[in-house]
Amino acid sequence: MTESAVEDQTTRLPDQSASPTLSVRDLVVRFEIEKNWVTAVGGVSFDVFPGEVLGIVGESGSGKSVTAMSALRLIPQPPGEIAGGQVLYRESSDAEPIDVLQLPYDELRRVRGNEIAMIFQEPMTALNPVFTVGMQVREAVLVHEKVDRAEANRRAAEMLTRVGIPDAEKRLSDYPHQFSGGMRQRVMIAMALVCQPKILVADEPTTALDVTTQAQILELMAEMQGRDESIVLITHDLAVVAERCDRVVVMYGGKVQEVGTARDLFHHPKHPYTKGLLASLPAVGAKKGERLHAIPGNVPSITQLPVGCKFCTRCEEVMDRCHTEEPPLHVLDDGREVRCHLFEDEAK
Amino acid sequence: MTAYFVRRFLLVVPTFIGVTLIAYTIMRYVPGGPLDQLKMQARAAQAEGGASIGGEAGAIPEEALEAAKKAFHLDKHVVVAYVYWLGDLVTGNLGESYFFQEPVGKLVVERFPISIFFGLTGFVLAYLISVPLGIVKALKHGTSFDFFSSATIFIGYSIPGWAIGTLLLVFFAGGEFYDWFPLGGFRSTSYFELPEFVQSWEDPADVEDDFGRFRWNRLGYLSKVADQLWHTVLPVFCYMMGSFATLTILMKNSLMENIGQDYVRTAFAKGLHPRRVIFLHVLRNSLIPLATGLGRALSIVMAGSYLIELVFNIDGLGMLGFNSIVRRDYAVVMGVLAINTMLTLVGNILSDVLYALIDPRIRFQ
Amino acid sequence: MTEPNASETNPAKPASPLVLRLRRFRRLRRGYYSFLLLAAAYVLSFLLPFLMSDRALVVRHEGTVYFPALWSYPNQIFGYSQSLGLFEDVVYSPATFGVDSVETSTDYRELKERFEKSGGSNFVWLPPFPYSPTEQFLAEGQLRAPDREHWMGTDDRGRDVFVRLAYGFRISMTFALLVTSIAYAFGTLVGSLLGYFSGWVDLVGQRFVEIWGGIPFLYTVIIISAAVGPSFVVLVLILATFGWIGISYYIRGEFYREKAKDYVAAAIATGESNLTIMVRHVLPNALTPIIAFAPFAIVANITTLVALDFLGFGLPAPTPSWGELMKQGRANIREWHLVVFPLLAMFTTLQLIVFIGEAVREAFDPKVYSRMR
Repeated sequence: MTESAVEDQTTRLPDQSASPTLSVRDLVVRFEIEKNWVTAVGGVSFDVFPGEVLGIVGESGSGKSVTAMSALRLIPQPPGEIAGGQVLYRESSDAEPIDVLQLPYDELRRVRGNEIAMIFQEPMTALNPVFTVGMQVREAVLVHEKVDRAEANRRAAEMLTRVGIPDAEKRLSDYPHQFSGGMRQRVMIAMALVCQPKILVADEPTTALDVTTQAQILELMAEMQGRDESIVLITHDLAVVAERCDRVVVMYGGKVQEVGTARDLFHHPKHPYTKGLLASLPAVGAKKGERLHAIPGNVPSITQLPVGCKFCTRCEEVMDRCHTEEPPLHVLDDGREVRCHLFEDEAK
Repeated sequence: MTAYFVRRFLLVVPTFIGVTLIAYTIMRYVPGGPLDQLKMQARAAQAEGGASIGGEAGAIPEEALEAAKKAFHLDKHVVVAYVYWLGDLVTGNLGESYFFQEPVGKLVVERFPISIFFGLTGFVLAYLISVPLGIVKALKHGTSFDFFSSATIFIGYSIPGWAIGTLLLVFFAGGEFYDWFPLGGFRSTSYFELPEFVQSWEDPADVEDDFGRFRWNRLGYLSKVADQLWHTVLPVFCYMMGSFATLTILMKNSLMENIGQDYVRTAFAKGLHPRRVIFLHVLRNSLIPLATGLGRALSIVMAGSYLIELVFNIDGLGMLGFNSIVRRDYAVVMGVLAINTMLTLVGNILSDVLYALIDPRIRFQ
Repeated sequence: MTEPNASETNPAKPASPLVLRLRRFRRLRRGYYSFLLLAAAYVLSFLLPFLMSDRALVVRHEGTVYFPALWSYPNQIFGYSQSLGLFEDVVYSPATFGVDSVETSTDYRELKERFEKSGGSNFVWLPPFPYSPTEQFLAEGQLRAPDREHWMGTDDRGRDVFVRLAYGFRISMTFALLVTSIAYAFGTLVGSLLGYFSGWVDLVGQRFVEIWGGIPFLYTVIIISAAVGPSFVVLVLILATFGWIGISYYIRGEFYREKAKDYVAAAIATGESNLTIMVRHVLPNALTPIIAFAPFAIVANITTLVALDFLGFGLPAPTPSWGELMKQGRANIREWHLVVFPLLAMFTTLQLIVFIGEAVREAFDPKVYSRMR
């Protein structure tokens, strides 16, 4: 499935010459768990270019969600803490970047929802159960734009119609529990996009939904994406990545392990972890009876990450030095980035 | 939903009958009932009359015994007797007090306002203090303010309101320490009970009726307020302490739990001001458990706490019920018990109604 | 780039949830130390006859050693004349009352003084606090304010308040522990049956539980108490018959929740018997609410006992009791020591239990406090 999906896709290659809308630099996020500080994200860097869909892939515990939340400083504190790094946001390609992590609180609020918006995994709990859907979409407009209630209401209804909620006008006065899971996620999308943000960060937006609904939601997100608007799609589902993303960041153990275009990554995975992930997918046309490959072992708990390469405990090509020395993120000639000692020479 | 509540109200009837039937039965078979008392009185009268009669101790005229049996339906099966009582209750007749020689209904109606006055004041104050305090504690969780306010709350947690009452009386009502407040009562019942400063401006002659009796109603408006407040402070403080600790902790926990919910993250992600997130989104959700507690407090609010009423010598419904048990005035006991039970049952339903009103997710089937 | 400084924690050995919870409980200092303190105090309270009593621990008299704290001895053994010793000036012979000798209790404090005055090898070893809870110090007047001899004063019958509070602690704790255990055992049974069988058993049972729960219980206890004049055991049983309702609701709910889970369905599918399923699969899970609520039930039961004693419908007369002292305090508003000390005893005890309860709750259901901004 993956192979063919990548083949069929007319990849919209981002304009990498333009300056990135969002640059995450050396982001470190820690959590305090029972008096111990645990690093969930250990120095992550990546760029999001205008108009692209960037996928961040990883198993649960890889730090991908925490990375996404940090972009809007949505890390609960306590127990969490953004311990270092930068999240640089550019309003337009020629604007000076601003560091979201250093913004005064009021300016941060102006970015939240207005410039960078988010949707979350659980549409069931992400909406406030005691307020109407109309009120919740409306307040997103009211907080960022100087419009009156009626106008905000009109905008909310229009947005709900656009995301495919039938009878939107009437449903404004309904409560979240009166919507199905898929419909609720549509409401979330409407709420996120109602202020036309430059970047939409979607944290596993389809994980809690059934397969048909998943496809619809992804389709909707693609439809709603404007020319210069970027989407950061966080998922553990490689099929989703293959289908929807332009570029992919693979994360493991709180670190970026590999970065590349979706096409490159799926056809020529370099990092042993990426290879393992891809091998664990059932391929279309695979012979009957052929066994699926599984990465040996389990994802280590973030409290017990190895000192060297984070993947060394499960890697099939592990070397001695992997246990003690963490490889840097090697930049290869074709722009690929791989965090693995095997590519040390290739990078030079 | 209406159907649900209609059903709930209908279910009150069998529960009410069950509760009162059990209470009725216990009272009937427990020694010391009306007949025993009659015998005891006869014995006492005899002892007083002198030992000359001697011999036959506790002999009462057969007719008197029969009459008493009839009056209390003791000649009938307990269930039949209960049905008689229930029948009277339905027609609004709670029977007659053996001690006061007055209709129970009248006794109850006289005391209801007194109990409600203290219960309601304490209750409202408890909510007025607990809700904001709980919010501040949740927002300042872990700070020294949180820590030190918890110390006070723990007192309320481990000492019941009435016990604090005895302490307050010792310290503030003319024991070894301060004489700031009266020993109890609802209002002053004589001129010399009035607080001194009120006495200083009220002339005794003005507040007496033609027979020289003290009339509270003749006090000036300010004196009335002062005297009422003077009597209210300590008992109401105890009522308040009774629910204050639990309410504050409930509010704090509820708020803290809601702050960790996903919808809060959504609200912040929209760019809302923290004030709006906390005081609108979070607060609205965290008030749900507190609001539902309103209904369950109904019986305390209306019928009072007999312990606090006893400590402060307040002649309310609770004290009436307690004293009637001591006096074996069973008609009154049953009456007060029936009212209490009704209030509790209705309070439970009221809680559910509030719950349904405040939480749109709740749809009772 | 910042190196992750993930702190090294020992790879946890697989432990049962209960062991993990207990381990977590031990880490919660306040609750754990409260538990140790209270447990120690309770164990120690069973040694009260050797710590606070008017009977000497050891008496040596004319070469013989006696243990009055363990056995009673007639007082003439210690050289008292065969008298009642009622009045110092007039000594009545027991024959006056038509008996040969009278076993009056010896005043060991006086005996000690006598032995010390006369010197020699005779001695009396008194308990650290040589007063008994029922002993009346009328000669010194009742309602004595605290002084060096009676640390917390005496009550309206001239009994030492401190000693009565100490004995009251043992009685209150024992009472509450018994009531809670019986009530919880019964509540668990009822809750399990209703939750397990569900259907009409549950429907009918629920109505009964509702009716029973609807009875204003303290009222009823007072009615029964007023009529019967209950003993310790009777009072325990009466309170236990009203104390099981809350927990039965929880256990019932727990059963309903657990029954819906796959593992119970699997157990039923493999053909295990009803009883086995209940005992082996569901009850261990239902244990959580029991342990979590027990401390607060104990608090409630102690409070109830104090209230009943305060009202005069609690334990029978000479029993040392906190509530009874407070009743005296309410009647004698000037005797602050009759209110302050019992309240302090009650507050300290209940506070320790509340701390334990809080820690148990925290250990069983740790809540990470998170704050978004």
